[in-house]
Amino acid sequence: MFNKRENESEGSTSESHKADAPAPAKRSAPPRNAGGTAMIGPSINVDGKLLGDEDLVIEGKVKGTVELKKNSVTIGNQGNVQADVYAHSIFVDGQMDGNLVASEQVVIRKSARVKGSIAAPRVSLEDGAQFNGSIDMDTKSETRSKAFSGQKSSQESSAGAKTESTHSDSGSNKSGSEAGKQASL
Amino acid sequence: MSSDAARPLEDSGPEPIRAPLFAMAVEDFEDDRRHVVLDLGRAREGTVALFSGYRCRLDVVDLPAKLGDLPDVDEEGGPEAVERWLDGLLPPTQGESVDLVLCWNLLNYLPAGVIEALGRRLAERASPQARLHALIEYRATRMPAVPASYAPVGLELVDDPPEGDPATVAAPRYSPKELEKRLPGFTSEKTMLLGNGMQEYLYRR
Repeated sequence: MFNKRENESEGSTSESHKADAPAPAKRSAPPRNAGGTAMIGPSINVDGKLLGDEDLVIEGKVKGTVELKKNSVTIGNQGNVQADVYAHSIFVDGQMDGNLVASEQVVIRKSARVKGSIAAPRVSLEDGAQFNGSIDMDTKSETRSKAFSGQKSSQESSAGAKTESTHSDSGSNKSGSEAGKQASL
Repeated sequence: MSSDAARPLEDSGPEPIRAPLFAMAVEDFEDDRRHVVLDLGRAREGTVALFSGYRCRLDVVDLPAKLGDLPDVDEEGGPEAVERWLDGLLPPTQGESVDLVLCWNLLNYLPAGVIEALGRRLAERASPQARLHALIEYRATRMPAVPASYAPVGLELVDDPPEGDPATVAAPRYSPKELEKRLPGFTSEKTMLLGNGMQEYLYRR
């Protein structure tokens, strides 16, 4: 399902990472990362709910919900996300339509095209980025506190529909169609 | 917040322009109350950086980029079409009213009928003490056909002229009172001529 890179600094040399694909975004404040970085490649189309405990780079199309509350999510240059994204940190280089909620920071880079709302204690936006929507930078934001409270019960309640990214290599080379089946609600 | 605080140490870009009325409007944000800002211009790094220093929600609608789709306000049903067009662009209120509207180099690119439609929508969203801060081309009789974008550097403003398009159009040079008539519910509070020839207008509910 995901191309997995155990060491992000060596990501560009990974066999599963296409040479012409853009490198993952640099992170200014590394979130907690239990393992490597998963990647949804440009040909992958996911419709459903994504849950997990590792960083994620999205270069494909994702619809639904992405919940990686302890990790970072990067929407790469080729990424096209129509979803609500909950993560420790979120970096956007590609297209995003939905809500971005981060416990730490959201970074909108100059190539990004974003429509929707952002809630995070730290938000940065590079000139050149296209953004239409709301940015909630209130340290006492209700949106963020709701999203990051009761995290355990939220995950448990959706256990039947979740897609788990594991750290074993057996889960790293599944086909796009398998990814679609697993992620669909 | 000091205007010097957010200024880069080595600033090789255009010289920031003092905008005392903008600084005055932002000073209201120094309390611990939550505020909502509606920016009717292109999303800019400086705007996000400035308002991230406050308890605040920043709504951004890049109206200048959407003007190509603007319905003809002079046609039959035009004003209603413009209001529907605005409704499709403005973000949900989320149950909060707007405390500060930023109209930088925008109103002078809008026909009077469109300003009225926009004014009606803003009046519905504005809090009782809301302010509207506008930058208007007032001194010159002509202005670039493509509007320059403005962004804060601390509490000062810097312009970002469009590249490669030297075409100009007539500047409507709306006076504060003319705009007041078009912006129901807003009263002209102060005006100031800026160093670059733009006029700074501050309106209050």
